[in-house]
Amino acid sequence: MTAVRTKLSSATMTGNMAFGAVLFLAFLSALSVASPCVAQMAKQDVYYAKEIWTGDKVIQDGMMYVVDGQVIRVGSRGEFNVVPTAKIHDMSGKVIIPGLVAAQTNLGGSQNENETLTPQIQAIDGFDFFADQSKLLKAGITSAQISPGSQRLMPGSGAVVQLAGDVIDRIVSEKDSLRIVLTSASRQPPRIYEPAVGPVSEDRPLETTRPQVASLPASLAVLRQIFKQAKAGDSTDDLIVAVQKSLAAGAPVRVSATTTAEIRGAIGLAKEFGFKLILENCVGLEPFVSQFDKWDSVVAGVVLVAPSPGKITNPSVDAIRQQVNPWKYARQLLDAGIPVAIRASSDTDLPQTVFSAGQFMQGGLTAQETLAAITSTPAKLSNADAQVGMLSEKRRADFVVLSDSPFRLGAQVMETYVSGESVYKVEEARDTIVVRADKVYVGDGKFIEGNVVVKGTTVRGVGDQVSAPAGAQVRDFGDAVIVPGFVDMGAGLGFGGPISGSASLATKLSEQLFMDDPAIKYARQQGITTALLRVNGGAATPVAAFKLGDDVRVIGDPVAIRFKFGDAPASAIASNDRLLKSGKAYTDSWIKYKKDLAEYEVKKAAADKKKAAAKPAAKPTDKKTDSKDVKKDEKAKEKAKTPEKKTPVKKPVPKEGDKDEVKEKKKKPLPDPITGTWDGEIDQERVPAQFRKVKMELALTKDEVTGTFTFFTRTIEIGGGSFNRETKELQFSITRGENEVPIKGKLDDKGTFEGTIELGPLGESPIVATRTVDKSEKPADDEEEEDGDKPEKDKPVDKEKEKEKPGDKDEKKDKPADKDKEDKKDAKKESVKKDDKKAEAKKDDKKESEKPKTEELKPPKKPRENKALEPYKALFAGEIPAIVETNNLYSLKAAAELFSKKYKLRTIMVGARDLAREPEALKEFDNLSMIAGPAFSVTIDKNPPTNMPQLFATEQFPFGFQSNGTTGAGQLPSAIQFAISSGLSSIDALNGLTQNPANMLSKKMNFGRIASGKDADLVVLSGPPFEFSTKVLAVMIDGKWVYEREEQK
Amino acid sequence: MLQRFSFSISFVAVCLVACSISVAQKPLAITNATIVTGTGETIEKGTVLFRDGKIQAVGADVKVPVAARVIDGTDHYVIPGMVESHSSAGLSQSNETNQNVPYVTVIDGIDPMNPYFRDARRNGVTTVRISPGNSTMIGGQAAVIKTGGQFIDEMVVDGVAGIKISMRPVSGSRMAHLAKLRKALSDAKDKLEDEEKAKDKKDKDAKADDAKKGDKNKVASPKAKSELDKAMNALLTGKNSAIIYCEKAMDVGQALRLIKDFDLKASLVVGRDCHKAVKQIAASKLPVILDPTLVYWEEDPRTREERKIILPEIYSEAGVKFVFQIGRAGSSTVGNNYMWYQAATAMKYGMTEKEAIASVTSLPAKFLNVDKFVGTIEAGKDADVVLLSGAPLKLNTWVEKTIIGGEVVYNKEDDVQLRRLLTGEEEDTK
Repeated sequence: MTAVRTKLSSATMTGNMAFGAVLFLAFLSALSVASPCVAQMAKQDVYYAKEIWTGDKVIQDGMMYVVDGQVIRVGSRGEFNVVPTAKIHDMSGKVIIPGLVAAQTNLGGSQNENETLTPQIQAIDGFDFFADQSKLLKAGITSAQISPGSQRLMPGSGAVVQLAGDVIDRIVSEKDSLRIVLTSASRQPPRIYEPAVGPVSEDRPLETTRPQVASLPASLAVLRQIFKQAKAGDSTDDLIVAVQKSLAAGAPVRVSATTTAEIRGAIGLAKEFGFKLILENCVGLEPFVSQFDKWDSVVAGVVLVAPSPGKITNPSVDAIRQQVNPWKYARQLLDAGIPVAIRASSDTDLPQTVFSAGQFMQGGLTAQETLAAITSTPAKLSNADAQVGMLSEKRRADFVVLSDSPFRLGAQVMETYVSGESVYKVEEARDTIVVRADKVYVGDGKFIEGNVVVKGTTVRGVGDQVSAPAGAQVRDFGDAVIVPGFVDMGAGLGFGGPISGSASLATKLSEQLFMDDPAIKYARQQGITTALLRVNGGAATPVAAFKLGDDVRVIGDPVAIRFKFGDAPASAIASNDRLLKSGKAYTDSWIKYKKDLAEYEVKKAAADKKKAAAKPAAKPTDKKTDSKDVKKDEKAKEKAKTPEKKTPVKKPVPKEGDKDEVKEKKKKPLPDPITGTWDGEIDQERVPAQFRKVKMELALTKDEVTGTFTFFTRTIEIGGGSFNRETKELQFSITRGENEVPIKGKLDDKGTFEGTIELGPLGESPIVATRTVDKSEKPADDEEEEDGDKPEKDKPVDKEKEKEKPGDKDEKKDKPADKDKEDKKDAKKESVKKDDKKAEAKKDDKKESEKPKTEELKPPKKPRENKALEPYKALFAGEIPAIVETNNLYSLKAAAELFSKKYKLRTIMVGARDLAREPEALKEFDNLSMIAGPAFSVTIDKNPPTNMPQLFATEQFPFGFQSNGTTGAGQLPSAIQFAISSGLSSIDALNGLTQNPANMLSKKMNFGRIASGKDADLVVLSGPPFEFSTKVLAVMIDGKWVYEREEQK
Repeated sequence: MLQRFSFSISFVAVCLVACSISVAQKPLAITNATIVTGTGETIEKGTVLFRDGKIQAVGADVKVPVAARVIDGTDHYVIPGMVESHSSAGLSQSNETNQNVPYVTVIDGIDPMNPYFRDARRNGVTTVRISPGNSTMIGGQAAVIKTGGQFIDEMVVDGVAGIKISMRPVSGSRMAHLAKLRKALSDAKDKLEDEEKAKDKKDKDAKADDAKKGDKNKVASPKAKSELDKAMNALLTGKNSAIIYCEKAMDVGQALRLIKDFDLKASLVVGRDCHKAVKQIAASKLPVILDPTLVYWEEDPRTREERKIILPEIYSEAGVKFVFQIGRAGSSTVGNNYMWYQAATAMKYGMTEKEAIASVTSLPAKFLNVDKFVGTIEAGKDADVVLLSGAPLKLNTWVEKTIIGGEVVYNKEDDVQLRRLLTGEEEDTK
């Protein structure tokens, strides 16, 4: 054996090494003291968390006080006071655990010396403090034991370092324990060769043959010899001295021993020479199970290897039969009082340490025991537990912030701290919000437990197990209930008060929305997220839907057409039938046109092909005419717009007055730069472009100006108008809502008006307008005069003519265009005199639609686009429903007969009061649904009051609710509460506020439910919906919080 | 042979230099040149006069003896000969195979006919410290020499110019390399301590009868010491300094630890990666020799983000004193194989022109402790200057003449190789 020893040529350094290390550290600390940064104030931090796992206990709602990277105290929140200057880190809802300590790594690099016994080698010498450890830090590993090597019998001693922080302070334990590798890896070590036999010279004698330790008995024999000599203590051999020193330090010896024989050998050595063991990589523990109790005196700890996570290993059948899972022994060892540490199967698996260790819970380890196996126990085995591995006094503030308790699947590392400094932080997924509550209403009467994950404007998932990015924001509402945002199926919200004037189907309600209507804010505080807009008006009016978010979002305009079905059935049927008829005719004409156009295009393409083959030169001319036609069409369309828009709307009375004034004015010879039609624009960026256009119809009498002002598509009578002919100053005002809006300015030399308009919150905005049609009195030979002389009744037509005039001049040659106009006039007259000529209307429409047929190989004539009739297309296509307002029993039936049966429309009844009289009156009709409200309780004659929603529910009508309110829209949920108290089920009520409206309107509606892909409209309630004690805690519309109750913030 | 250098080598060296030029030499003068003296003074239309291998006078109105050979320096610049701090070129072999050889000296391995010296003269380098290569553990002794001369004995300025220690393992792991290095040093330290103890004891009881002790003293007496022990003693007692090569940033900490543990007088040769440890280097206040590649792109292994690393900037910001070495990329392209290019690079990244010129002349001279002889143009210093065709550190400036010890050792006109390179002229085949 002496031969063996002498061959180990490299000798160890002795006392100087440890001494040197101390000096080095002293030198470094001296450096840091000298550096100016020490003069700064101590860095003080307080961390609050849902749970703090200190290593020996779990503190709920805990706090941790850290000064200069050292833990000072840990306790429950408020248990102790800290200096007020300490920086507070609120990790509420998150969990703090100690930074993980990797029980064994090869971060020091591989050590492949030419000798197999190198106890003098220190792993710390091979550790690169500048290497990038971000992967491990991201996994929550803050310290690591560095192994000196794994392919030599006695590769050296290990060390423990922190994986981040100032290079100077990162060594936790410079020399932890001597390592011995008894596994097969040390028996066929790479890079140890027999030297080649070569020429021998005097000065370089051939080195002696190196030992081949090729078997376990040989390994053990060598080790026994070394330990024997070390114990004897009289050797001066460096190797022996190094071993001696390691043993004298009292540190246990780390022995890597996998098989039963290896473990037995290790234990034998330890017993024989009286040192303690840390057993690593043990597998063949089965025979020792009964001896675990007696291991206490020999084994300081066991490092078990976790199976590689997520790997299919195909174990041997024997292994399966024996169920040799490391966790089995983990439990038994712990029960026997032997500390167990868990290590990842390789350095590659280190980032999965938490998962790897979590597997051990299968063996019955508690979460705390499992956590200890990757934090405090490895620290203890490396004698580093006074510094790392636990969160208690005087230890380095190495900790990990988790999204949930450790080992719960889905618990993610949110942040990692080393010595009180954040060294890793998960990237925040700003656009993803996880809303947590006790229950979530997903619709159809179902409540489920769990979270709602919102990404962007939509819901990404609902339930207990939903994937979300690690950095998602989490809002935890505890015991709250999440329901979909409520829908008010009829409200006057967003108009800033009751809407004045009336609307036709051509009116775009969405264009009249006030962004800053305070009623919106109030309504959404009560959970209303979507509202259907309705206005009073003619027999058929549009209904628009919009979201009540900070940026008002229109979902559909129109989403339905609202019909008034009067209480006198006969006239109601007649008028509504007429409306529907014309609508249907219009729709059909377009359907036909589209069909014809398609046919024409096919034919034309064929003809073009022929032509192209015959006469390529003919093509350009064809094209020309084509484009002209298109232009013509467009122009005609434009012209058609204005008069038609106005016709269905009842002319405001003052208009008549205007004309009188116009007439009067005629007699005055003074130049009149005012009277006429003006087009202008408001120069205000915050007003959407389409709303900036204004139109004025002005008339000048002496210096008084009267007329109308049209903007935001509403026509308002002007008041207090005056024009100073000298200074050319024009001023007037309009009434908008309750406010007086002054408009004033000057005319320039060319007659262009430049002035300002007061736009409420938007402030004074510039406005510019020019007169497009001069209606001022002119010499008798003027063309205009004729028109002016026409009778008042024909005024609409006249106006139209006036406007057409320039067009006429331009396109005199375009006969089809003229014709078009004729048609238009006809149509106009008809629509004006609709009431009188109802029978003819249909004929005319037919005529119109038949016309294109007669032309061959000419493009089919495009039907005039009539904005007032446009919504009917969607109605008859079934895309939007008809909302029919009716009360009377006969009217109810008649309306159902007409809308549902005759025209096969999806019909929503509003009111339906008399259903209380005869609940089954509408039984025979399909496609019917109901809107209840604003009064839910109806009393007919002397009968007891009927709870209408309850009636709808029992009669199995789908139904929604309407408030019919403006500022009162927000009271809808509490009104429904009353309906519930009188017998409506709360689920029916909830459905009526959420999913039913969407179903009733259209399949395209994306609100009303909490499901993947639906709009993220959430109402967070403090308890079950409609309970008295339940409050709205928060409201989200389209993924944005629009309301949060004060105490929630 | 080795013994020659073990006693007061610098003295010998001075003698050698002095001897080599003591042969009767005509005075030499460069007139009408712009002289950048390196002392902070630039003399327009100045004259520098050499005599007996030394600078006799420098100034605007220096009288030129009739006997002197005169070089007209009109429109030309004169700068001090450049000094290179670290090179293992010019050796027949850069390293001994054995890794623990503190006793070998480069002087025994320098080949004055090595093309390196010709290139050095062509590029205006007149003084260089040759040291063993980086692939070693304790690799031997370095020497400061002149680049002009036929025989090494004529060239040596300082034969005790440091012992090369490398932190990079030649083979095997860093931890094993360090363990060996520490062992070698601590063995030597133990021996030294024993020796001192014995010496003390000997002094105390000078006439001890114990034969055994007497024997021991004999063994430990200086004369009987092995070359290895002597070399290691010089290192540990600070008589010779350590030139420690750090390849990676992680080596810096270990090197500093060794320096502290064994109380070494040291300078660092830092590899590229070491800039990461610049804080530690700055704290140690040790002078460093930078990697030849001063500017390069470094890729973050994780993010793949590329970052431009400018070594002179990093080190000067940290307050580290540094000098340059040059690469060995061949002499045909402009790059870090020229000292002036290194200085120009540093200037590009913020050094003043004066500092840049100093960084290749007076600063390395001071660094190598030979500033008494070289590095500036001052009366009394060695007659080592470079005559440039234009302003220094400019790309289109050529070295016209290199003068070492008052002799013109390089003349561009006679540089056949350069001419061939530049003109493509065929070799004369007669």
